[in-house]
Amino acid sequence: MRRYLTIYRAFFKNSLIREMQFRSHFWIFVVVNLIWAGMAMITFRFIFNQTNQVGGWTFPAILVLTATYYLFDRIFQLLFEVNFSRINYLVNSGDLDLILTKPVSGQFFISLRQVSLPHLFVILPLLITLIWLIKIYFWPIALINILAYGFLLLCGLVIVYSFWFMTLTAVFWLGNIENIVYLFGSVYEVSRIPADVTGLVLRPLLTYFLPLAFVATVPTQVLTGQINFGLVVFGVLAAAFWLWVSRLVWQLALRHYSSASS
Amino acid sequence: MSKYWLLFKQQLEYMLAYRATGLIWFLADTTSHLVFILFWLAAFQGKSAIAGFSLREMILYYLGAMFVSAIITPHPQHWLADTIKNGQFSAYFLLRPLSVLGDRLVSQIAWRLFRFVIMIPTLLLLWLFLSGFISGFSVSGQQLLWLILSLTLAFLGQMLLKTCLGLAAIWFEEIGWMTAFWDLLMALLGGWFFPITLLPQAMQVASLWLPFRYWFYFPLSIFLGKLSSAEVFQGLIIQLFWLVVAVLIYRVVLKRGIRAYSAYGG
Repeated sequence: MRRYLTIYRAFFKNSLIREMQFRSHFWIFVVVNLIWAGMAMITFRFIFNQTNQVGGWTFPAILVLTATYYLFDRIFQLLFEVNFSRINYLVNSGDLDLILTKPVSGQFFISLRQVSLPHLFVILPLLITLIWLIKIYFWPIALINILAYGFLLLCGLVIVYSFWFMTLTAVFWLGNIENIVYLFGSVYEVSRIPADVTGLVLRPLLTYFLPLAFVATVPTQVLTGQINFGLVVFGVLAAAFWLWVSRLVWQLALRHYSSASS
Repeated sequence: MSKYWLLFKQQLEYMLAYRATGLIWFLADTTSHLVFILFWLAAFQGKSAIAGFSLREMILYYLGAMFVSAIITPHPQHWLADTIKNGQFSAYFLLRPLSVLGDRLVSQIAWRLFRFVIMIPTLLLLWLFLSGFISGFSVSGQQLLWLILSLTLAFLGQMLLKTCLGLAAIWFEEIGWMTAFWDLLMALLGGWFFPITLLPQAMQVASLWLPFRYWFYFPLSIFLGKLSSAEVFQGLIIQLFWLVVAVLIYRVVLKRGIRAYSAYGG
């Protein structure tokens, strides 16, 4: 574990140096991202002009959910964006060989090799927005709720990582799919709305089987005052379970790997 | 003409070889509207209308929106910008008897055709799932005719202006921000996010002065039968106006672009 932390620190430093070399379109990227998050919130403003609540969710709660979704999304992209988009290339070009010979877990290496730091400049304003929303609508909240919120986001990250990573391993079987990274991306979009308003079939599905409720819905509920300890415990178990499954899938995929080069 | 036919066949073969890629782009283009449908189902609970739309109309609006954004909305700009950036533009267009627009049009039509084949069963399936909410809906023959006309105008207008966006790579190193800005306007003032009637009055008025709503919201309104004949006629005239504007812009951009273009690399 310590060794992996040391390696990750080296990855981080290396990414920082790389990032400083290519900073041309950096600000445009930050601004566009923030505008999209803002637009999503404005959209809900217009919808809530017509109705007071949607499936028990008030406008302030939806705003916290939206801020949480974008915050989650940016943290996820910060950690995995570059790495995930390279997996198809690594597998199909045979460059994966080089990684597999290294004395660390291959899954760890290809998932976390690069950090995309520009996302930090989107994460910060989102975090400020979130704090501001909490302050005007939901203050005071207990420390335990804030801690549980952070902890649940972490569980959500692990869950989404595991599913997303598993979809990427499809290229071991199917060969070159240049946009494979968007496959789970389109499923995961459903987490931008409250999972508990999605109806009798999807609601249990999104809570227990494909637990995307842990991206924004459950963390938001916890932060806005409804803490459900059963669900928090379930989140931890689900994260551990799916991470383990993703590891199994990775090992299975490697057995299918035939180096492409030479 | 036969050279374009050949290009078309070549594109189709390419797509058949990369079916999975096509399928994933299709998914990425359609799921956001599905998520909206889920949200509206919850928002309507007991309400008869929101912003002039009944639940049935709202669901149909988003099913239509899926169709329009996956089939009608072209994306010629990315490939074009890449080709300009890596210096292949001159070899591809300037040395061959191909028009930029003709070539991109053929490629886009081939892609749309592929998506159309996936779209039909997808929509049928959704229709089946949602039949409880949308039963009894029908479109008249005349509506269908107008719809096809308006979708064609929407496709061509966007095709021309987005080709210009791609050609802008001749002057700007990065065009990502321009497409992002375009998408934002389309989402908010075009009706991609939600029906324009949900916008505040001032923004609704603003949307009348831009082409976006005529490329998205207007055809969908024809589909839903929310317009009188006079309104349809007026809308089609405005679409035609924007098409003429697009043609003029395209011609200027292409002419100046070819003069300003300098190939980098090989």
